[in-house]
Amino acid sequence: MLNTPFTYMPTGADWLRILPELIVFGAALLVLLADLFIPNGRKGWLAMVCLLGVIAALIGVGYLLSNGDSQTAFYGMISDDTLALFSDLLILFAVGIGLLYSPGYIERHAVTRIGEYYGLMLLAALGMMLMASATNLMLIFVGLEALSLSLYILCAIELTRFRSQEAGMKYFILSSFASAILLYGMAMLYGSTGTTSLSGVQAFFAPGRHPFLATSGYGPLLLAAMGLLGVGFCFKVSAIPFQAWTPDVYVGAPTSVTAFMSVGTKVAAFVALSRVFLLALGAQSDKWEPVFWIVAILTMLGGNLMAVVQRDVKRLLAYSSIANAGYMLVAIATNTQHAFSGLLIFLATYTVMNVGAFGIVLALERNDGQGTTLDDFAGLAKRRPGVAAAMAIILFALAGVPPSAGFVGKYYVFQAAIVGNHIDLAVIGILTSVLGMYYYLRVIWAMYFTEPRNVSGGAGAIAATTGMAGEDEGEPEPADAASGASVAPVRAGTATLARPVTSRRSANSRTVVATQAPAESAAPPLTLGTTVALTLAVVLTVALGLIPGPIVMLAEQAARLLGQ
Amino acid sequence: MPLSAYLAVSAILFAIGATGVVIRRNPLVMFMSIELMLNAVNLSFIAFAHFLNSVEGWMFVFLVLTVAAAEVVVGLAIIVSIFRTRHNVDVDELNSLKG
Repeated sequence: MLNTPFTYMPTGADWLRILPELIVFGAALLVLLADLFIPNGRKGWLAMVCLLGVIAALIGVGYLLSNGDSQTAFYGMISDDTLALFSDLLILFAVGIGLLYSPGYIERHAVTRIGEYYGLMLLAALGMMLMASATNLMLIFVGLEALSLSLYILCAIELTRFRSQEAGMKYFILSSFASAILLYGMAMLYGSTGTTSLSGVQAFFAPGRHPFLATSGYGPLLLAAMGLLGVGFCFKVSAIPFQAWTPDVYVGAPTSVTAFMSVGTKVAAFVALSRVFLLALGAQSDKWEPVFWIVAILTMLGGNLMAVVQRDVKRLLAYSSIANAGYMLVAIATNTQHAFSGLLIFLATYTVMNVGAFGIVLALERNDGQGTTLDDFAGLAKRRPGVAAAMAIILFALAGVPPSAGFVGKYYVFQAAIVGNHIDLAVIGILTSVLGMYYYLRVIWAMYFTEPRNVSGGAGAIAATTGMAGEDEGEPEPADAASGASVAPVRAGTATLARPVTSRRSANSRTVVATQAPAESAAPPLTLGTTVALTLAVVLTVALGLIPGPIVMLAEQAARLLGQ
Repeated sequence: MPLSAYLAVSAILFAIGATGVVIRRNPLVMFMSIELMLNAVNLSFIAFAHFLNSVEGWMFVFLVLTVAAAEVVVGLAIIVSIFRTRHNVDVDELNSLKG
């Protein structure tokens, strides 16, 4: 077999099938190139280039949806089936919204590597699209690494804010650890089936093909493969007990990146997980279904319970995204075509809600990353009625109040669970959703029915401790803040003396503090991009709740893959 | 040698790597442990490819090697940038985010 020469010539049709990916890749390269010619101060144009690329890719997805042939391309590596196009749509929407948030965020936080930032946003989106479209373990791995490597850098891109660096570091170590486990699972699956192609794996388990399978030595190898793949994917979708990295990374990363990555990686990872487990390993479902059943219950319970005790809204949203991963795992554990379309609908609704929710956090947080606790949300309705109304709509949707997008997503997942004989999962899901209402509605309560508690004083104290000392403390209490303010200059001073190499940096950070301190007492105004993005997210949140028809149809069409 | 011998070595290497990530506190060592895990996987890919007489395992190894190299670049950059800010890269010190 190795002696026969292997030749495969990609045809034009192959290239056409990866049109959206090609456009995103081209736009990313164009951005990196254009970065060299655009002078500082006008880097906003790069966001325009990115957005145009995303819009062009969306048009490409539309073209393939109407004219595509749902075939695999490049020797069975990648597919343009409806499932791939559906996830491309969600990922492109998420990256588009993230890009709209970016210029304002970059300006406020003095991110210096602007060209790299935009280029990596697109490359991360490309990795997600590849992972979701992949029909071969190799491409799943390459897509996963493309998205992870881009996101490590994006998380750590704020060189002056230590929390961003810490988030990048944590994400890097834990995520590459998970990648290695996933990869070992892929090796085991390859070893037990002799192929890396998902359709090959599926054919391997076809009835009657390998009658010896039940008794042969493949058993342990295959079990190890499924176990390792399951652990790796659970890390990626932040299911409990592998969720530890999620809150830290979501809170520490730049908020525009969090908005994008919190949904983009979930879409990519869940679609790849479905392709591997539901599709390729569908015949072995009696072995993996119970595991996902337990993980789904743990994730729903744990995510919601831990979210209840959070005081910081950004962190609360991170735990809420873990809880939502639990609802998605219900669909995986149910393992029917109906549940799979439910999962896709849930992913779509989750995408529009979550990018909106993190957008509000981005609009409210101050330049040092503070200002997102429940106390800061107190009385928001009086100070900024528009933002408060948008947040209220999105939180009602996340809580699953009809007729919002969140209700539609949960309805389809739980209904499919009941039909698919998993009433236990549906009951736990509905009960934990009720628990979820408590912490979502608590934020709305804070915004509409409480008076702001000493906001100007607290904000001033936090502004004084910005920089080196401010980064050390999670939430300085007023008493601590007073001492922190006196410590800050001393610390900065000693740092300058002790470390001549970094003196330029600390001088810079001090001037940044000096110039920004007055502005930090109030949350910055919305930029045009943020306003557009928030409006889009809110409108879609409502629209998906009122007229879910089109997205449901598309999801059902995508889920038909499972019936074949 | 039988396939199981290669797989056993690969599993041992992988376990050493995984243990290293879990118990060591220095990011550089954790990072090396992750590389060890990836190379353990490479060993099993090559062993499988040889015994299955299939070319996909070899191809996968090239992809893994490339990705591992890219991971080194990104990882070391993040470690260096943290070291510049803090002059300390012990992961127990990375505790400003919690709750």
